[in-house]
Amino acid sequence: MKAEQESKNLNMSELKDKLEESLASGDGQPNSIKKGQLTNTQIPAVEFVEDVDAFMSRPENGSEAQIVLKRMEETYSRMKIIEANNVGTKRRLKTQIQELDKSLEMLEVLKQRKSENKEITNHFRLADHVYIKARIPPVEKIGLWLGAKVMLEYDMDEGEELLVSKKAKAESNLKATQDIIDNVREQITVTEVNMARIYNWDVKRRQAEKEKGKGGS
Amino acid sequence: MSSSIKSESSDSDVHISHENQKKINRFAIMNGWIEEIQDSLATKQTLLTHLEDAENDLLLSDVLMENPDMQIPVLVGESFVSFTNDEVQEHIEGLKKRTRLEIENLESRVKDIKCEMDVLKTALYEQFGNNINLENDGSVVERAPKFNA
Repeated sequence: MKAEQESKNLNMSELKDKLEESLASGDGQPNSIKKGQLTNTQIPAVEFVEDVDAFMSRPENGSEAQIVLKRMEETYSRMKIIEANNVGTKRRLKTQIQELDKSLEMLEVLKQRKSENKEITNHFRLADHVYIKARIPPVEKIGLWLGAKVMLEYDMDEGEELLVSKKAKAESNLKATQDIIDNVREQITVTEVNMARIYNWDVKRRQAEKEKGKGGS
Repeated sequence: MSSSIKSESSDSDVHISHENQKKINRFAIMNGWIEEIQDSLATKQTLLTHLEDAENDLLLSDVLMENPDMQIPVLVGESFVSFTNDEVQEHIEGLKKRTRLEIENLESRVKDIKCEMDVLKTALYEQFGNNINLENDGSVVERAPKFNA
């Protein structure tokens, strides 16, 4: 019986960890970087073309500017998609950090009032644009919404700790996402410059051919 | 038209070394940062103005003059907590201080980034002249000469 109880406790604490892991922001998105999303090392580095002549005469390019440009354009759109995805992730993380800040701000007031042993008079939102007045006596515990339709009760300090750690995690994810965005932007810039130079190279080549044609006739 | 001819004729001089490409990359990345920082700077500055407005309104409020013990609801997180006049002033003062600090930090970041961007800009224009466009439309594009077939 006791062992059963223990295993039940263990399961509960596992569940709690899992839920805390996925503590969701208001829009229900977990704050970790999505699985399957490219990490920074997985983004292929675009080759910088130093010498256009040498680059174009490579066997796989065969001096065909149109083909090379088409290939580069494909890379370019792929990079643009990765960029847009990460910009979305970043926006979500920022919203989440803002929401955690709001929770922490409220928690601060709760703690202060508790230390003064004063009740809080509060107007809280019942529905959009409908606020109702409530008196909150000094509280010991707070409920944190962990997502998956679960709310868990915490001691005030414990809850604060959890929120602070969630915020730190969201911030480090934000930084990682920014690094990915910077890396992708770098690849995009290299691709833009490559395309412009190959285009110019082709223009010059065709002009030279035209002149040669004129000279011959 | 004349400008495109000019860039055509000078195009043969444009050789981009890896070193220069790195400078262009750095410039493009920073260009992305600066826009965002300036956005959040503007948001913070609006917040500061609102806080100052709130403070002034409290000082000038007739209702508050007549009932100095009145409870004032203040937005904290998602709901309004009632504070006494003194508490509100303290609360606003704290927020103002924090916002000012954040603004200072953002401003100094903007300054650092702009400084580095200017160095890069000078170096790149010196190298490429009219063949490169680093203006603030967010793009770093080499001007491609028009080809009239």
